[in-house]
Amino acid sequence: MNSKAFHQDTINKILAADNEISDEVNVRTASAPFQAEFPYERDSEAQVTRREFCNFLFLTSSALFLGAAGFAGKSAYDARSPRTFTPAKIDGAMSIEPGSALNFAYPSEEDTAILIRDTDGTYAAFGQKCTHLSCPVYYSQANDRLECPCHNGGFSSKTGEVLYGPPPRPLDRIELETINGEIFAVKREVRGNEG
Amino acid sequence: MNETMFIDPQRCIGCRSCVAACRECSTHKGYSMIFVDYIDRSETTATMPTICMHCEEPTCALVCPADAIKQNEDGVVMSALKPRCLDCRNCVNACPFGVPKYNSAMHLQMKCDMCYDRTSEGLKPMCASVCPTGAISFGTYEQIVPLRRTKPVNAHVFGNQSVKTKVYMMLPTDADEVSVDGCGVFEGQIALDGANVSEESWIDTQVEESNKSNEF
Repeated sequence: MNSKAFHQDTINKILAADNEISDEVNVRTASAPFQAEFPYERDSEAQVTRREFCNFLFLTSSALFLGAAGFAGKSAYDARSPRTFTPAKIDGAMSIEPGSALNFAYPSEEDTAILIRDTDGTYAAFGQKCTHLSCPVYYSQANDRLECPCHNGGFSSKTGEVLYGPPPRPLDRIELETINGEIFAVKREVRGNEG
Repeated sequence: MNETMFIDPQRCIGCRSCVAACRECSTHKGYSMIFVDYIDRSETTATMPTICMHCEEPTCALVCPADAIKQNEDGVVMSALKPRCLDCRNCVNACPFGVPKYNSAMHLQMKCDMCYDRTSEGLKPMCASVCPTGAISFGTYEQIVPLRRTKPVNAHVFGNQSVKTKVYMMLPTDADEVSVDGCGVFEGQIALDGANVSEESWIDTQVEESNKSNEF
């Protein structure tokens, strides 16, 4: 039965109410369409029609889907234009000892990063946010690796790959260039699970 | 809930215990939902309590534009829901028994709901629990009626409207219905005996309970 017919059916039921109860026919007639939609019995307050429920499901999931599609579309659009980075000098990079690390931020103040000078004097830089839950990683000189204090994650200090623990992805890699004896960060790339 | 209320005007002595008891309840603190009125102050000292009659098809709920008055599964018509009531006073004007009153300070209609918080737990309503004479009694039909010589009636005629109620009036006659009309004046009748409309008696205006306003 479609909803219109059902609605009419309800109205007819109200109009056909027993005259034993009350002969208030005029009021009943005048208010029947309203009563059909908003019955005064309290237990009917809890009733949800199948149509209402299906509408709710459909509209809610549509809204969620459209929201997700919007975000997906935006990120796809953003991915089409490659990000440009301006090289930034890392202050004090030349003065750190081999086998130690220096914190800096690249490309913006919020994007924390860590510069490691290996024992053989080569430099490598990675994002400082652990890929598990964003705790800051630190350089452990004794073990020569990046460790995360929160949940015991470990990363290689040479490549940033995950050695053990919960992190799902390697750390962001920051490309370095040496210009006129100064070390510049030139690019930061987020890495997934390429293997 | 098989229990209901039985109102016996013959037994009422006008002590107003019910009014005092009703005021005690925290659900409507300070306002009495029950009214004790002189029936005809110039002729007699007889009084009568008025509570909500809990109609099977409540006119107040039928005319409510905001869907604020609900009848629950036990046939008790509840007081207006606070979030919905518009204070439009449709129910106040529509009720044949003059039960709902409005509270303009709270923008809310208030009426007796048979102490549903108590009766749903098996307790008597406040008024019935304090009435010294049994003018207001609460119980099942089988409990109350055999003990009385009066006749329980739950059909009421108000002008051109007849209503069946959950609450029974105990009548000393064999009548099958109660005629509920203030001073015998109602729409359609005014033209017929407009000449005989009785003035409000002077004494009525002197007692607070006879304040005929519909406002708390």
